[in-house]
Amino acid sequence: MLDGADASVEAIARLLDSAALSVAVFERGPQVTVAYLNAAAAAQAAVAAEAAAGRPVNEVFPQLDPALIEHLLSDTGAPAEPTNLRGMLPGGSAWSVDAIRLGRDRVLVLAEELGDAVSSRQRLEALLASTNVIWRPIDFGSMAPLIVEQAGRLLSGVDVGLWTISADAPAELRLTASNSPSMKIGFQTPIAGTVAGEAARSGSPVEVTAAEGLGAGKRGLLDGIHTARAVPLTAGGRVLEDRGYPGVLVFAKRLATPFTDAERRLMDEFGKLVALAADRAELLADARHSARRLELTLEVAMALAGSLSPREIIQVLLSRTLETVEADRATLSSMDDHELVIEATHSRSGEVRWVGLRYGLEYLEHQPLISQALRTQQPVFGGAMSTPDAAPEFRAALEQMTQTATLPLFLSGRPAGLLIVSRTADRQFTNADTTTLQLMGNAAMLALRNARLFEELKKASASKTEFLNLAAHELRTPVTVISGYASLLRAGIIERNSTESDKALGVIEQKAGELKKLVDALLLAARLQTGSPVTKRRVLDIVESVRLAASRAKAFAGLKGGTVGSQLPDAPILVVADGDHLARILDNLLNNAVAYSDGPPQVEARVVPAPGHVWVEVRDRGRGIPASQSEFIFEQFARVEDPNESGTSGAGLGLYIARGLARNMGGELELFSTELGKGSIFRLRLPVPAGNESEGAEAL
Amino acid sequence: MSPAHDHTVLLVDDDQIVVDMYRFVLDRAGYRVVVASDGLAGLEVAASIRPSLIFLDIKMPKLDGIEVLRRLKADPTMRSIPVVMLSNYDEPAFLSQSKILGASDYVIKAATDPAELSDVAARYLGSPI
Repeated sequence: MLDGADASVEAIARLLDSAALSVAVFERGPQVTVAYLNAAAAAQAAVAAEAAAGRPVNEVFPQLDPALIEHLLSDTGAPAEPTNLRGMLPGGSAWSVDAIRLGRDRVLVLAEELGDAVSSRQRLEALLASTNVIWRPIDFGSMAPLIVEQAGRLLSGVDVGLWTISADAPAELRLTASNSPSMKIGFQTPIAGTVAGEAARSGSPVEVTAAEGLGAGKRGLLDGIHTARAVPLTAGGRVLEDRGYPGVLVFAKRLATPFTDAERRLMDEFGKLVALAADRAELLADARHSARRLELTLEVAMALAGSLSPREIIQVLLSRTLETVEADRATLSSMDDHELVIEATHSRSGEVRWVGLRYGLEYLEHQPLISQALRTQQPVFGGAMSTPDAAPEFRAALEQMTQTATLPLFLSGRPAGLLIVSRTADRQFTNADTTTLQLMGNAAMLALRNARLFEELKKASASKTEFLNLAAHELRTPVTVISGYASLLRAGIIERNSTESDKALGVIEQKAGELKKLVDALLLAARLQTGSPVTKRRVLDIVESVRLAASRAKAFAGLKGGTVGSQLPDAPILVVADGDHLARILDNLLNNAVAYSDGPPQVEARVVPAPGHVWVEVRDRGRGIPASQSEFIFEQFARVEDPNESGTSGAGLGLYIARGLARNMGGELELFSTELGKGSIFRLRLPVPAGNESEGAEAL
Repeated sequence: MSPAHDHTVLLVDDDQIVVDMYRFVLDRAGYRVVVASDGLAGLEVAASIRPSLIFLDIKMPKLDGIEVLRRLKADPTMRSIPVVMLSNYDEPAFLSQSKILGASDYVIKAATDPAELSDVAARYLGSPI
């Protein structure tokens, strides 16, 4: 022990003690004895500090050269200034020793076990040098061998292994790099029960020694090792779980000496620096990856936007999807409020199937992954698909898939489609995968909508051209006759005031009348197409309107030897309608019924009141209309294709105009029923005046 | 072959009023005019009377004029009869198709003075008078 006069020396010793150095004071008497040892020095000597006091130095520290001790206490050898004596230490020693004389007979010895480094400053310098080396690569893979190489340089005589946990096998540790031939790279062991695993889990270094039962439960890792310290590669508290490279550095010592605090500090600091470097490398890799994906997405978006063909867009999206995330199958569906359309599916083998299957949205109840994706508007990761409800031809292919990601796609913020990617390999899709795919998919939905709008536009433009062509043809027909006869009259080919000239003038008049009607119809059709024709709605008696129309049609029916009958209530029934438009609709229905009858026409008109509206039914016993044409007949220039049709003239505008006018008046015109060879029933619905809703019903 | 037979013209058109007008012109020019009011009838009449010239409308019931033309030109016994298309369609598609199928001429009705029809007939048959 030091005496009272040396309290200051003890204070200094304590201070040094706290710096985790081994501190000793040697005193010259008859022998050189130990006057003081701090805890670290006592640990090195494997004695209790108190028991060592007063004992000869060469007993307590048999490894110290007696000549060195003599030298420290000699007049010349023990400097008054702190002096590093490393060069004087026995060869191969990992100790750094500083000495300072305290008066005549005492010397303070500071010792630090630092491997190759000799002082804190040098230790820091060594760490920085290692960091510089580790910092260079920009990916963890290239960094791993450098990490163990540098760790071995910092701590000589220590085996270093870098263990990592990959996303593919989250319960396993894998030896990624090592500086010892006895540690085989690629060796894998379960995390549970290992020192490295414990360090990874806790985020703090874990140290074990053989004395503490190193082998128990620490399978394989620590054979023949005296002491091991596992340092998690964490810059903060957390192992780099979300970066996919959680790692642990294991330092193992075969010698029967424990790690010194300085070594521990060095290992822990090194671990933190490696973690930062790895983190940086990962961020860089992420950034490069993101940049590449963004570039790819832009490239795909450009390719998609440049196409006006829906098929091409779908094919580009699906093939790029497979490439980008290394999937085995990608399927695109589009959807609206009513149904889901499976557009196409693309397999890795390059096969594209244009599916075109349509499902009601209730189908989604059988596909929980899809419905969840639509409900949450988030990608849903899942295992195998539910195949029993899939189309039979895809079941076999879908059954092989073990990983799927179901991505909702959006257009103007509304769900517009689904991109489903799947893999046969049991490797999950990542968030980065789905982010990229959603960007590409949303771009595709936009391109697809534009392409489809363009197709509609082309169709509309073609139908406009067709309208003009058909309209021109229909107009030329009466013009041919009018101008033809006029020319024959003027040239005198038809003699004036002859029977022939009377007939010609009659035809000219007739055709001029038809021309006027046709022009009116064309104008009306054009107005119905672009806006609304002038409509003067008023309350009128539908019974009277139908009666008048039936009597107008009787003459035409009479020409074909038929009749137009009517079943009309006695009392008036009021509707809201434009009288002229109503007359046009009724004439069209009745004339069609007469015209399209084979043999003598039997046409009947009925007025049927209903709550809130009135039905007018026109029934014929004519040819009927093929089911495939039941909506087509309401289109412009629509003429039912009938190989036996003969002599029925008209531009095919009648029903188009009639329905347009009915809707314009707040009503509707529909083909209620039809049967080939038996006839058809057309129904016109008209609104009743406000407050009269029940009147029609009473008149029933 | 008698001269009368040489000047028989078949007029195939479903519009009775147009037919009357053209028949008047062709009659007056001295041609013998036979009429058919749809495509199928046109083919039958052509096969039975072998006219010297056919005026053929396009838009007709039962068989349209383009199809009638195709069949006429596919029939070795009628292939040589000149066919003049007579229509109010002026889309280039109809004109080129008619030409490819072997029509001799294409007359747009509304743009042609009916009196010219006899000139067209004279071009192929010579004047009967």
